[in-house]
Amino acid sequence: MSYPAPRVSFVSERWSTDDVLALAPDSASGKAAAKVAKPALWPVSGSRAEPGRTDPVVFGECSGSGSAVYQVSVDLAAAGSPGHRCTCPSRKFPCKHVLGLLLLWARGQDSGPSDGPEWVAEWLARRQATAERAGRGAAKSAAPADPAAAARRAQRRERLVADGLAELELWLADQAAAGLAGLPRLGYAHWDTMAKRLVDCQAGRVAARVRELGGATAEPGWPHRVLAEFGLLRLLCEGHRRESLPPRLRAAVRARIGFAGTPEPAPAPREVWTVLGRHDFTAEELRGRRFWLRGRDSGRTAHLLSFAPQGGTPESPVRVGTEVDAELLFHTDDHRASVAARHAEHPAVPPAGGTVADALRSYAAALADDPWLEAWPVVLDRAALARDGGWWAADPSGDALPLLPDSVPPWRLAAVTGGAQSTLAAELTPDGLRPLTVWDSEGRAATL
Amino acid sequence: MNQTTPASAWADLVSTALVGTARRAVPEPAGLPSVPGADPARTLLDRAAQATLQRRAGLVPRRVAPIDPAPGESAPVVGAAAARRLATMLGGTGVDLLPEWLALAADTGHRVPPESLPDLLARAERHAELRAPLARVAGVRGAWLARLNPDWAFLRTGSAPFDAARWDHGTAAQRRAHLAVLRAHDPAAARELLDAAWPTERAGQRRRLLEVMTDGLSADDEPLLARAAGDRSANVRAEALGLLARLPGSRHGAAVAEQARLLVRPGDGAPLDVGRPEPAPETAPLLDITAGGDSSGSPVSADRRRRDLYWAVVVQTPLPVWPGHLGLDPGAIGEAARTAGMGDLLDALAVAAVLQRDPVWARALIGPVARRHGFDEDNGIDPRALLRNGRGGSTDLAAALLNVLPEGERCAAVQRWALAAGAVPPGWLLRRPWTDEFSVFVVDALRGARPRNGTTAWYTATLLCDAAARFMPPEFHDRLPCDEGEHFAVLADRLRLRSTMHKELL
Repeated sequence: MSYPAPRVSFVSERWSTDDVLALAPDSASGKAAAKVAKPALWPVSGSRAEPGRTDPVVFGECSGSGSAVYQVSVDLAAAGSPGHRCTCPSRKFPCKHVLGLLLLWARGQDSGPSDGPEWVAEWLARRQATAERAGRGAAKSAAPADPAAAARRAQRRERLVADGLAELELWLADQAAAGLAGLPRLGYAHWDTMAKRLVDCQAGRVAARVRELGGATAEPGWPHRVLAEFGLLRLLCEGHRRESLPPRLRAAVRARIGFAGTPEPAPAPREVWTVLGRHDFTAEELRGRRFWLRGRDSGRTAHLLSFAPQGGTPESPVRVGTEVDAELLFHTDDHRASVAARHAEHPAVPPAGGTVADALRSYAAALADDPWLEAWPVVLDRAALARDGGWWAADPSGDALPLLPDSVPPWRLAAVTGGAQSTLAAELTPDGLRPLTVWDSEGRAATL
Repeated sequence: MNQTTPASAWADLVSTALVGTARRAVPEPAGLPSVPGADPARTLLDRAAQATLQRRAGLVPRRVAPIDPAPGESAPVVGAAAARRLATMLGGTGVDLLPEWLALAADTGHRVPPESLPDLLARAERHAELRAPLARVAGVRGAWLARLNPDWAFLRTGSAPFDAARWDHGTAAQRRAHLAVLRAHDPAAARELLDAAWPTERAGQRRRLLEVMTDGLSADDEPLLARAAGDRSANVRAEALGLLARLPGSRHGAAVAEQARLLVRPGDGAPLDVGRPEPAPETAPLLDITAGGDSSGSPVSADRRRRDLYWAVVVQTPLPVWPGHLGLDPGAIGEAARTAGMGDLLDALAVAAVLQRDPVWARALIGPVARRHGFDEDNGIDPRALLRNGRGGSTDLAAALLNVLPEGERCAAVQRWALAAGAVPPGWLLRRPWTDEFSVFVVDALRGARPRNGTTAWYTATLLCDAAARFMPPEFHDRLPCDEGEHFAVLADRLRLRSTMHKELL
C-alpha cells in the first residue's frame, strides 16, 4: 500500500474469545489455536489501522515447529468473514495460526498497534488489487451474455417446476386417499424417490422438505407432523399455480420452491442494525448459520444466512450483541439480505422488546406473508423463565410461550438470568420458542 | 399450546388421514372456510393446511408462573482474564487445571461467571472431585441453579428438602448424590435410610453408598458399618472395614485390639512374637474377610485365609494400643518387625497409619518401610529399586505414608533420601504441593541430571517433571534449565501457565 498508515491511535472493539472461536472450522482447530495463542510463540504481532475503516488488520509471525516461521495476517474489515492468510501448509481454513493470532489479539496480548513488517503492506496491496479486479469482473458479468438464451432457460425451468409440483400433488393426494398409517414401514426410499424427482425438476427446497419427512415418521406424534406438512406442501403447489397472489406471498412461494431470489436493485438505505441473535443448524450435509437483524429506525427484519461444507465454518458477517452501521442488500423473496457495505460496529444496549402478545401478533403477520415460515425473530421485554413440567418464557403479564424441545432444559438461560426478568431474543417456530440471545442485568448479551 | 381450532377437530383430520379418504369421509371442522373441489384427498390436505395455519397464527399463550428468581450475590465474579481462562478450560484446553483454578478462585473470595455454571455443574456430575471446590465458587446463583436440576443435588447445602421419589427411582449416581445431601444435614436420617434400603441394594451400589459415609464419619455410624462389615460381598466388607478402622474409640476397635494383643506379643528374647491367627468368636464375622471366598466368591486356601485375617486384625487395631502392649515406641516396633522379617506386620501397620491418618506412626514407619523395599537412608538408595517400584508397586505404601505427614516434613524426607542416593528424587513420591525449598532442590537436581533421551535418568527426570508441573509452586517457571532439554521447556510453559492463572485470580 503506497500511503502511510495514519498515526492516530484508534480504538476498536476487540473481539471476544467466543467470537474468534466461532470461526474455527471444528472443535479440534479451536483447541489447537488455544495452544498456539501464546505470546512466546509470536516474536512479531500487532495490529494496524487502515484509513477510513474502523476494523484493524491483525498480523503476526508465529514460530512453528522446527525453524519455520509463518506469516499470518487477518483483515477484520473484510465484509463477510475476515480475510485471512497464513503461510503454513495446513488445509484447515482458517488454520490454527490465524485463530491463535486472533485469540492473542482478542486478549490484548499482541504487541499493539504498528505498521508491522513489509509483507503485511504487500499482502494488503495484493488484496486491494484483487478486490478491484473482482469489482470490475462483477460489473461485467452482471449483464447476461445472451438474454435470449437466459430467457429460454428460465422458461424451461418454469415448466420443469410445474411438472414436478403436479407430480408431488398427485403423490400427496394418493397417500391421503390410501391413508398415512403405513408410512413408517416404507423407509427412506419412499421419500427419497419423490425428493430426487423434485431435484430433477429444480424445486430444491421442496425436495428438502420431502426428504426431511422421511426421518419424521420414526418420531412419536408423526401423524400430526406429516399431515401438517402434507397440507402445507399442497398449499405450496396451489400457490405456485396462482399467478395473482399478493407480491410478497408470491415471492415467498417462489422462494420456498427453490427459485433464487433476485437481489433488489439497490441496497436499503444505510441504517444501524441491531444483531438480535444467531442460530447454527445443519441442513443437507451443510453447516448453516443465520443471524437476525433489526433496523433500529425502520424496524425492518433482516436475515443473514451463510453455509459451509462439513468441516468448514459458515461466515459470521456480524456479531451478536453489537449494532452494525451498514447498507444491507435485500432479496426480493423473504427477509434474506447480505451486507453490501459496512461502516462501523458498536456494542449495543439490549434491543427494545414487547410482550408475548406482541410477539404472536408479529408472527401471525409474518405467516400471512409466508405460511411456510419456520422461524421468526421476536424480542420479549422482561421475559422470565417459567416451569410447569415443561419450560416456558413468560412476560410480566404471565403470558407464556413454550420453549422448543431442542432448547430445553435451558440451563444457560437460567444461569445467565438467575430467573430474573430479562430481554430475550428468540425465534418463534411452529413448535415453540428457541431462545437465541439474552441480555443479563448489566446489559451484556449472552448467546444461548 | 392452546389452539383456537379445537384440538378435537385437528384430531379428526389426523385420524381420517391415517385411515385414508378412500375409506372415511373428510370431516368438516367448524371455523374453517369450506374448500371447493371434488377430490376428497385434496380437500383433506387443504383443510389440514388451513387448520395448521390457524393453529400457528392463532396461538394462544398459556399462563405459567415464573420460577422464583435467584437471590442476590455478595461475592464478586472473577475478572475478565480469569473468566476467559475458565471458558477456555471448559472448552477442553488445559482442563486438568480446573480443580486448581476453582480452589484458587474460592481462596481469593470470587465466584464463577454465571454462564459457566451449567458446564461446570455437568462436569462435576461426572467428576466428584470437582464438587467441593465448585460449591465454594458457584455463588448464590449456582446453588439456585442446582436446585432446578435434581442431578446437581450434590451442590445443595443446608436444608435442602429430601426428595423421596429421587431416592426410590433415581439412577445409582442420583441416589448416591441424594444420600450425600441428606447425610450433610441430617446424618441420622441418612443412616436410617441406608439401613432400610441395605437388603435390596446390589453389591456394587452397597459399596458405593458406603463410600458416601466417608464424609462426616462419626461414632454413631458404627452399628451401620458393623452390619456392612458382615456383608455377603468381600468388596463391601473391605470398604466397611476401612471405614471402621478410621473410627476412633469404637467398640469394634476395642474388640479387635483384644485379638491383636493375643496375635502380636512382646517376644521372649526377640522383641516381637507373632502367634497363629485364629478367628475369635466375637470378631470372626468381621475380620475373617475371606471366610466365604475372595471378591469373586471363589474359595481361598486356609493359608490365604489366615493371612487375610492376620492383616485385618493388625490394620483394624487402633494404633495407640501397640506401644503400651509391646513396651516399644512406634519406630522400634516397625524396625523390629522389619529386622525379624515380619514384612506383613510392617506393611499392615503402615496401612493402619495411612487409614487412621496417624502422622506419628507414619513418621516412625517410613524408615523401616522404605528400607524393606530397597531404600536405605544410611547406606544410600539404589535408584534402580526406586524406578522398578515406581508405579503401582509396593513403594506406593511409602508414598502413602509420606502423604500423611505435614507438607514441609514430607518434602524434607524425600529430599533427604534423594541426597543420600545421589539421585534425582522420584517425583511420583510427592503428589502433593511442594515447598519452595524442595522445589529449589529439584531444580538443582534437574540441572545436574543432564538427562539424555532413552536413559534411566531421562525417564526419572520426565516423571519428576510430570509431578513438578502439577505440584511445584508456579513462580519457579523462570528458574528452570530450559536450554537443557525439551521437557524442561514444557515444564516451564506449564508453570508459566499456572503462574498466569494465579495472577489472573488475584
